[in-house]
Formats: sequence, C-alpha cells, structure tokens
Amino acid sequence: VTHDTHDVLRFAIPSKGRIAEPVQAFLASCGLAVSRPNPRQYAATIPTCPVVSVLFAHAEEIPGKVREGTVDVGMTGLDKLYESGEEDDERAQVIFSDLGIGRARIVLGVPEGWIDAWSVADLADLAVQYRDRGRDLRVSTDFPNITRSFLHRHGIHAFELLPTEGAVESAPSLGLADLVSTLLETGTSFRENRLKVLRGGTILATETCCIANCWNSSRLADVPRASTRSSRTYGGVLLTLWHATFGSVPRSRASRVPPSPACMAHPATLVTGMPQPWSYRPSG
Amino acid sequence: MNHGSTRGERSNNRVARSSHHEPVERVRGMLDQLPEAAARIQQITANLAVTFERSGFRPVHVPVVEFSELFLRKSGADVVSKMYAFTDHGGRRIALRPELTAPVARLYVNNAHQFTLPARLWYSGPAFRYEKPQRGRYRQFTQMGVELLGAPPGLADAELIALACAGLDRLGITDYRIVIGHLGVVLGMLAAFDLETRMRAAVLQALEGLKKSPESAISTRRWLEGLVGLDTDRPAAEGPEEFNEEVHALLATMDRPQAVKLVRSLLGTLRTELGGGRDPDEIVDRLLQRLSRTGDAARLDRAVRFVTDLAALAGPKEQALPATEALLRQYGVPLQPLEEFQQVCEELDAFGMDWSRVTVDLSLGRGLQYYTGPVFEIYCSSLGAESQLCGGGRYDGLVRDLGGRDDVPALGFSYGLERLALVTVDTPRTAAANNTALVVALHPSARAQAVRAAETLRDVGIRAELDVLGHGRRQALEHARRTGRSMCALIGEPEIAAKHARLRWLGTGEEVTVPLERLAEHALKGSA
Repeated sequence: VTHDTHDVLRFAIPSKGRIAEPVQAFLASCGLAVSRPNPRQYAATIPTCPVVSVLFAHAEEIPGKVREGTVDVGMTGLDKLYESGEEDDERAQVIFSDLGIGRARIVLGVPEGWIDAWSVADLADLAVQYRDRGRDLRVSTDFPNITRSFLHRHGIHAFELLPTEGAVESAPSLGLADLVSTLLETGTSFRENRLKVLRGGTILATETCCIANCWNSSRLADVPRASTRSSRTYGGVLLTLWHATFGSVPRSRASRVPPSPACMAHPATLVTGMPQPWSYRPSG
Repeated sequence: MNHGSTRGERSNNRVARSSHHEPVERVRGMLDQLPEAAARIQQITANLAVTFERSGFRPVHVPVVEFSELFLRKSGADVVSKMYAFTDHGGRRIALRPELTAPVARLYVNNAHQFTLPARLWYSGPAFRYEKPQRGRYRQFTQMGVELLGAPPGLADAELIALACAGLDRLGITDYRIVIGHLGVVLGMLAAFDLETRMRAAVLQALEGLKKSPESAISTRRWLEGLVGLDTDRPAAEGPEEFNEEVHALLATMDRPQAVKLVRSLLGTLRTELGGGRDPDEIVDRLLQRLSRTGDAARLDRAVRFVTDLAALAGPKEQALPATEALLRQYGVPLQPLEEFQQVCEELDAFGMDWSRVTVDLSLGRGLQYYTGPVFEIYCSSLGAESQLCGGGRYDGLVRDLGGRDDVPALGFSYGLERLALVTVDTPRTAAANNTALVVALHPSARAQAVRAAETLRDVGIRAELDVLGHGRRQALEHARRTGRSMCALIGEPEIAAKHARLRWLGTGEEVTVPLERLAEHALKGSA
C-alpha cells in the first residue's frame, strides 16, 4: 500500500543502543510490532497500522528530526531530548514518558577515594580550590549541555567539559578527567571504575518518552495526555500519535486519509471511544 | 521600530537545511540592524565618543575572542554561566567576550609599559551572552564605555558617575534615575561574618534575588542553602560506608595528627585508594577541615538578614546614609566603605549632581564579581522591565587578578547601546547631510562625466549616489522621487560635449543646466 507522504505518520524509533530493543518490545506489546525486512534499511513498517511509516535513527538524532519536522513523532530518551535543545525550545513536546522503560539517571560521579566529598556542594568547594591552584575540574561526559547547566545552577563555574563518547566512567582512572557525568543504570560500571555518586548529584532522571512535533501547539494541547495505563495499550499510543498528526486537519484532508480496513478507523471513532477494530492487548 | 524579535525567535524553529530553497535564518537571539537603526547607533556612538574624548579618554579596541580564563577569574557566575565558550582548532579554551571591562583590563596588563597612569580608555563593541532572548535583550549586544585605570577612590568615582550622566544628557535622554551603592559594605560584612570564599561569592550572586520580592527572597535563600550544602551537609549512606557518621563524630574529637593517622590506617585496611588525580594528604586535610566546620548555617543566616535589612534602607541620600550607618553599627560591620561612599557623594556635589534623581542603595550588587567599591546603575523610567541603560563601578583588584604586577585602582562604566537606541531622540541632521543626489548617466558615453559630477558633489558634503541601473530620464526621476532624494543630476548626450550637467530639484521641479565645475555650488545654493 502506498500513501501520500502527507498522510503518513512519520514515526522515528532508535535503531540501536540502550533503548532500541525495549522500545520495539513495547510497541510489539501494544500490537504495533515493527517489521523491518532488511536490518540494513532505515525504513520499516508496522503491518497492523499501515498509515505509520517507521524510520530507524540514532536516539540522539530523533529530537532534532522531530523539532525540524522531518518526522512527526519519535521515541527516544528524555536525556537525548534535553541534551539536544535549548531549555525553552517547545518544538518537540513530550506526549508521554511514563512507559517504565529505559529508566536511568544521569549522575555526577567522583573517585571513591575522594573521601572528603560526598555532596555537590563539596564539589563546588573543590572547584574553587582547584581554581586557586590554577586549574579547573575536568568533567568527562556524554551529556555536555545538561551537565553544563546543572553545574552552573549549583554554583560550579570553573570546570572544563570533556565530551566523551563511550567509556566515560574510565576517564578518571586513566587520569583524563577528575570526575564524570554520565548515565547510571545498574551501577556496575561505576563500581568497576571505583566511582561514587555525589549526594544531590542526580542531574536527570531519564526514561523513554514519546515526543511529537508541535508546529501547532494549540492542537497538541487537545491531545489527551495518556495515563500510564492507557499509554501501555495499542489504543492509547495510537490515539495519541493520530491526534498529534491528524488531530485538526481539515475535514477534506482527513477524508483523503486512505481507509484502512485492518486498523484505521476514522479519527472520530477513536475520540468517541467507539468499538475499535483491533484487538486490545494489555501488556502487564 | 522593528527589532524583529518575534520573527527571530520563530525563525529558530527551522533548522537551516541543505536545500537551496530554504532561507537561511538569523540565529536566535541575534539582531539585524537595518539602515535606520544602524544609523541611529552610529550617531549615538559618535555623540558618546565626543563626550568621552572631551574628558580625556582615548579609544582602544580589544578582540571579540578571548581566553575563557580571562572571564573565569573574576567576571562572576552570572556572566560565566552565559558565556559562548568553546575550544578552537588549536585546542584553546576561548570565549566570545561577555563584557568588555575584563578585556580592557587585560589589554592594560599586557601593555602596561605603554601607559602612564592614570590611563583613560574608551571602547565600543559587541559582547555576547547566552541569555533568554526578550524585548531589549539580545544574545549579541553592544557595550560602549570607559575605564579609568590608576585612579584612587574619591574624585574619580564621582567624575565617572557625572560623565555617565553627561553622555545621556548629550543624547537628549532626560528621564533617567541613578542608583548608587558601595560594594565595600557587603564585602566588609562577608569578611566580618567570616564566610568562606564560596559562600561569599554565592551571597554576592544572590544580592539581587534577595531583594526583588518576598517570593524571590525565599527561593533565592533556598538556592543559597543548597549551594553551600546546608541541605546535604551530613555524611550518610551515599558516602563511602567506612565513613559513616560515627567515624565522623569520632574524628571530630581527635587532634589533627592523630586524626590523619587514623584515617590513613583505616583506608589502608580497607584498601581504598586515595587520590583520583588529587593529592592524598590534601584529601585527608580537607576531610578533617570539612568535619570541623560548623556554624555555616548561622553565618549564612546572619548574612542574608543583613542584606535584607540593608536593601530595605534604599532611598534618598539624606535618609539612607544615617540609617545605614546605624545598621552597620548594629551588625558590627566596618564603617570605612560607608565613609568612602560619603566622600564620593560630597565630590558629586562638585559636579552639580541632581540628587532628586538618585537612589542610594548600599546593597547594589551589579552581578559582576570584580567590583570592590562604589558602584552605580542608571535606569530609564520610560523603558519596561529591561530598563538599565548604564552600569559601572570600581574594581580595584582586577588588574592584579589578571596578572598585573601592581595593584592598580581602577573603575569604569558602560552603556548598552541597543537600549540607548530605544530611548534616544534623533537629532536633526545638518543641511548638507540632508542633501542627497542621484547622479545619472543617460548615455553610456556620459559615465565618466557622471562619475566626476558625483565626486564634485561629494566634495562639498552632499550624499551623491551613482545610478547603476542605466535608467532613462523618466525612470531616473521616478526612482529618485521614490527613494527621497532631494535632487537629481542628469547627464545626457547634449551635456557631454559642453561638460554640463542638468540639475533638477525634486521638491520644486526646478531644473537648470550648469557647467560641471559649478554643479556643487548650484546644488548647495538650490537646497538652501
């Protein structure tokens, strides 16, 4: 089935990395299993929902694509969303983020041997001490923007960010940095590299979120924010995606959306909660 | 006046794509200045330059790009956190200057041998801060100001406040008010209350927040407490387990050599490596120091109360000064800065200061960390929230902090030119500048003569523009009328041989044919 590109919901999901698998599993549990005939291709489909065209992309690229409008909706981490845009950038709006997948924290970690430092305030003291000795704290991080604003907000101004990709945690033991700011999921990597988390050092509690382009924010305001329970359902996700894209399209255009016997009822059907033609699969 | 901020913010919503058809937009928070606005800024700059030069200031230019270090030393948290800082291709940590005082002080430090003190310098140029854009606030803005290096407190402070007012007077800005303070009062308090370095910096940074409104005072206070660790001050489970509260309590009772010994052997047993790039002795030292530090909360509380009380006394000089003196005595804060401030006030009388437009506020902070003495800000009553036109003060320690060999007492101020442009009344242009001519060669062979005609007009100060579109007579006149020229000089075939030009005044429609060498004379006469 081919669709006019305007009538297709362009939906980006992570191609690899920490949340790629869980996102696909989540979609499958909603009855939206992604079919990617060739794992080398970036385009895919959701057979149960032909009006959605799936694009595989790097999780960190997805917020940008949603903001500029090359995709309508995307799933990525809150960390990637906040890292990639200005704080007051409202072009990409979080539709829901309480899926319970991909949960982790971005934290400040210092060497265990720094027994004189257990809070962010200690770190601020150390930054001043370092400065008095003519150097700045070096922070190895894969989240430079979030980290920068966190440190400034906490009165730490003299520091050098060392943007690092991968193996951020090993930088202090290699003598490349004094401390790290990175994702903490299980804590194994921190333990192995003899790092400890500072009190008050949680920069961001992140999890997987669904974001939509908000070229028409008034329209998004009408989208019923999916609650935890409903967002775990096919209907909840689809309703939200559908609204975000076609919610207020003129009737004439809405009617051009190809009728899809299997999955796509007219939006009005979704809104009024009339019986839906797909099977309802709660997922635990 | 269109400052285009709405459009600018909107435009950011589209990332420039590689397609040829997508327009490349202005970067968010930046400002385009169209000819009218640019001319106004230029005029303001010229007027202020005259004011500065007449008081003996000489111009300097400093680079837009400096080492980040320059601003990290002393510019203060507010400025540093908004810096456009990056690493260049050579791995240097550099920044677009967020202000110009530190660069000018650096210029002095680097070239000290070429200056005789006191050195009077003025500058004008863009500065960059990553602010949230709003009306009257852009991420690139223009600062124009003076620095007076090598001047002790007193007369010089008064002179600069008066000079800042004189600049505004020259621009025809009348509805301004001045707030004067002395940072020495708060600095004296911080020293008297024995606050540690970082807490001092935090309180200075919090000055504005503490006095803005009751709500802001509460949130600022909470922020302060978090910043100095009063909310997370006790070691507990998240710290290394071997250092639980009991160990801390035990250590606190020991004398230093004993404590150091205990910590070291304890860590040896537990095979915890100290260090992580730091000196183990230093870590143990700091740990013990950290444990013995008490009373931070009480000190901070006292400092905040003092600042709040001080801010409440802001008002006319006659009331503020005696009340402040009483407050300083009550808190046991040194009186010397206040005496210095009083002296500046007396000196200001010599400059004929109009005290009815002055508010004395000794809690004035300025947000920059390098100020040490008298400080002032000038606000325009007719502007909204972003109404500050000018600010400055004394920064006696800066030259030394930037590596200068001597202590050079110094002070300065700067205007925000975009703000001035919002409130400046345009002064009428001179008659010659109002004269604009379009010079048209009606035939290709007349071009050389047209070029000469334009030059003779320019020589007498007339703005003469060559027609480059190859207009015919009718089109040329129509174009000149539409673009508001006062006259049009036309050179056609008949005029070439005779070395004449036809000069037409667009206002009256009067037209004369004149010899080229008398063209300028006629042009001036006709417009008079």
